[in-house]
Amino acid sequence: MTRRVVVTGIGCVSSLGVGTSALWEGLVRARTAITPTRLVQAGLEVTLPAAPVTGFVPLDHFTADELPMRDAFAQYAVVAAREAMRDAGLGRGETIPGDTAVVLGSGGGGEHTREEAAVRLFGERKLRCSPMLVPKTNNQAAVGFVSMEFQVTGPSFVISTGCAAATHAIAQAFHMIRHGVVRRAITGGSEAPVALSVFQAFDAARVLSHTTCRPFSRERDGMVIGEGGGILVLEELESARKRGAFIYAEVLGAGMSADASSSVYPREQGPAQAIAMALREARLNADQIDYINAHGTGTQVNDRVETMAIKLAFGEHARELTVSSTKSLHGHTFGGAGGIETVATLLALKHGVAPPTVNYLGPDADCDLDYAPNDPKPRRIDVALKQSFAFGGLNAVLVLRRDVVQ
Amino acid sequence: MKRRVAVVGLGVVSALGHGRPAFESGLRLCRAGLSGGVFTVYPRLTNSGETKLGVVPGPRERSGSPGLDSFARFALEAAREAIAEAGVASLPHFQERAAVILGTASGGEDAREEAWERVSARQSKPHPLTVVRVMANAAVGAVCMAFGLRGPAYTISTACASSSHAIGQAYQMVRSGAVDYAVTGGSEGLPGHTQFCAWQQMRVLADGPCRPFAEERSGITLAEGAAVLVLESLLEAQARGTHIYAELTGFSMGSDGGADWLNADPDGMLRCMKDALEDAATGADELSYINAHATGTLRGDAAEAEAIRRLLDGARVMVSSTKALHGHTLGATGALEAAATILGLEGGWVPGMPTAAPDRSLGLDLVWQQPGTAPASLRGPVALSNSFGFGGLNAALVFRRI
Amino acid sequence: MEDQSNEAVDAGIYEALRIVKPSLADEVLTPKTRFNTLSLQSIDMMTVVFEMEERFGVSIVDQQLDTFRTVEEARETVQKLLHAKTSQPSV
Repeated sequence: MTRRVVVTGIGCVSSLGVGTSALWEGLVRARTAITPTRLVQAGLEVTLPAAPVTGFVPLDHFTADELPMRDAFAQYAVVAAREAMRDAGLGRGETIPGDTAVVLGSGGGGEHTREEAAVRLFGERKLRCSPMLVPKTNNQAAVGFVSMEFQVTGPSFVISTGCAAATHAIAQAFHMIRHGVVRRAITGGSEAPVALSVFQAFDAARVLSHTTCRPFSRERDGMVIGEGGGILVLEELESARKRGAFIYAEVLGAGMSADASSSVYPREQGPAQAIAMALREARLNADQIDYINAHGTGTQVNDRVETMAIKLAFGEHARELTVSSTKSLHGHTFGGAGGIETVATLLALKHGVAPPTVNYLGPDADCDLDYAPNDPKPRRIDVALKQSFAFGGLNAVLVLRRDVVQ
Repeated sequence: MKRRVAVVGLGVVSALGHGRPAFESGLRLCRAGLSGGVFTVYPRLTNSGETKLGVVPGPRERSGSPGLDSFARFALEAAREAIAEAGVASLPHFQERAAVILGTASGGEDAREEAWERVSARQSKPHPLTVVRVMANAAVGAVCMAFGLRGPAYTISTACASSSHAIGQAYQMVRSGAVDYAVTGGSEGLPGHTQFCAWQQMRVLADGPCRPFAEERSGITLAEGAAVLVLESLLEAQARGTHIYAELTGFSMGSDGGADWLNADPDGMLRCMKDALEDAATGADELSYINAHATGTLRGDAAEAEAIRRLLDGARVMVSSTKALHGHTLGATGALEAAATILGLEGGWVPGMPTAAPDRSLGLDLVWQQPGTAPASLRGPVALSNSFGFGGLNAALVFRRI
Repeated sequence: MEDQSNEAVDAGIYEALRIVKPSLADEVLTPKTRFNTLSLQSIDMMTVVFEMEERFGVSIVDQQLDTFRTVEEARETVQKLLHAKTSQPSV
């Protein structure tokens, strides 16, 4: 027997601001938060387009004593989790401690902290490193602090699959509730990668845009790094109904797959397979999907392959879909992407508006679907997909339906 | 649906050597591999006391796999061994119906350190492969690519509990029928220079090889390695007549709130062990061996001892920590210890710790062994393996002899 | 680094404490202050020791932490180490 799973709360911190309202407002105003960003560290400097978090004052959310141990990636996760739990109408003692899971995604953990330490040891040639490095940089930190905050003693872990981490995390949390392992989950992901060393590493791999993020557009030239966190509260349907919680959507299915082909270049079969797996679990036909929040990083290859994957999975119906990449507005937040973008998808379901793909100059030969270019698109959205494809070819897809149908 | 799950393949790379036979032999004869010199690995270090490391033997350069850091190479090597032994690669649905879930705490530390060096020396940018080498999912990606595995695949990163969490998740997926096979476990390379300095400052590293549960224990010995298990439905495995190591019968994971990042809470440990036994539908009175997390720290070992005493409530169960032999491999340690537990169950023996003056205040039935002599016999069919990570994330696995 | 006065070393210790736990800026710290009354978890205390080592340029070995119960005791250890440094030829 499997259980039905719904979303009862959402929370977010992004370059569009703190909170889900700020996110939605930014999305429908179609104004990108991507901006030239200058980073300076140890005498080195780089200026590249990025989407750093704005309007976030750490002391608004944490005491001075709490900050030394919390890298930004953990802070974003906690703040987004607080909003999601408040949104779900759940306080500290109401998490059913042993019956709640915390499953978060993070790609690199505490990059800022790591960089500071590296500057000291390599740049300044200091001999010692603060012991705080390990707890602060470890991927586990976000989950640890969220568990502590809400007194959760249930299954708690971090999935670290780069760009797909949070989507994988949500998929796992969904399956845990579905199979009766827990009744609730705090899930999603966060990342704080706007650091010089991260910029340099990705730039060295030649995947960063030096202009802006133009998913699916002609002349697109790469991804733009962003930061933040997106968290959902997932709950077993019956218990959500019993307490009269507002339901954003039902999670109907989750698909995961691997390309098994390249550490950098995606192949369409893997993503198509994950989509098919998700639809199968959701017991839906491809033509029942209205909107896809794409992975859409803005690289030549991802957007081309993703378009192929969508056509492979949906056939003719691909033409009826609206596919947009909100990375064009909030950047690529790696471990936070699945979280922030699933929140965006849930808001799209709620408002019946597909967020736009901005910075769009026009179609190119490989990308010819409806990407809601530059303006939000009001349309019927009953069922939506969130998909994420990580380096190494690891894919995750979620199916969400607004109405709980009998 | 709740299928029974078998372990049908096992691959190991550790400080005891390459391959499962070297691991098993080292464990059986109680020969520790913790004499690695700190300055060989960290030439820039200025002080180290008597700190030792568990180093995988062989050349440290990345010959033949420029795109893979050591944690990914170890995982691939262990996966090859496990998959070959399990005989699953040629089975019709293996590639679509296998999950690949591996754990790692830090990912590609070598590449990370190299990137810092290059950036700090103001050379050109970091190596183009930095991202793919550092990323925690590199090991999973490499395994999928090597065997054409296209099912659900991801990486778990929860400090010292990473690979136990990974095995547990894989177990649940095979058990529920979401997949028919799983390639699971974990891997870790030694920390880079920066992280190692941070470990030194945490003052939890031992003077010399770690001595869990011993009177004179002084901390952790960091080590590297990987262990990969292949899981399959027990009935299927029996039907095709493949070798079965043991049955994986229970798993639990939890958080103890992590109020003290360095020191785990015995209540959380106890709850985790109890939940795992409950999941396995096994009473504490059926246990014959516990492979403890015990890293060799004064407080950590004592806390776990307290939790175990409370679990056993007077029952006599043999306890050892094989970290005394293979070291603390952080994100890989749960998998290495699962491997040790499984090998002992299969062979009917208990891995012992090199003889040392025991800490009698712990009140446990500890298994000491003179290196080079035969191990103690295992008296019953069920064993428990614990992983209690920094930050309060816990996991426990239960295995039963077939 | 030369030998330092009690006040100077104490000040450095207070600074180290306040970096790890900023709210201690509002608390009166004295040489008699016991570390275990400051609500510091183990990792915090290790970080305080690290900050002290950085500040004073000394290496405090684990055994010396056994007598590190008050600010005054910590100061004595630091002063001993500083004195040992200055009475050795520079490396």
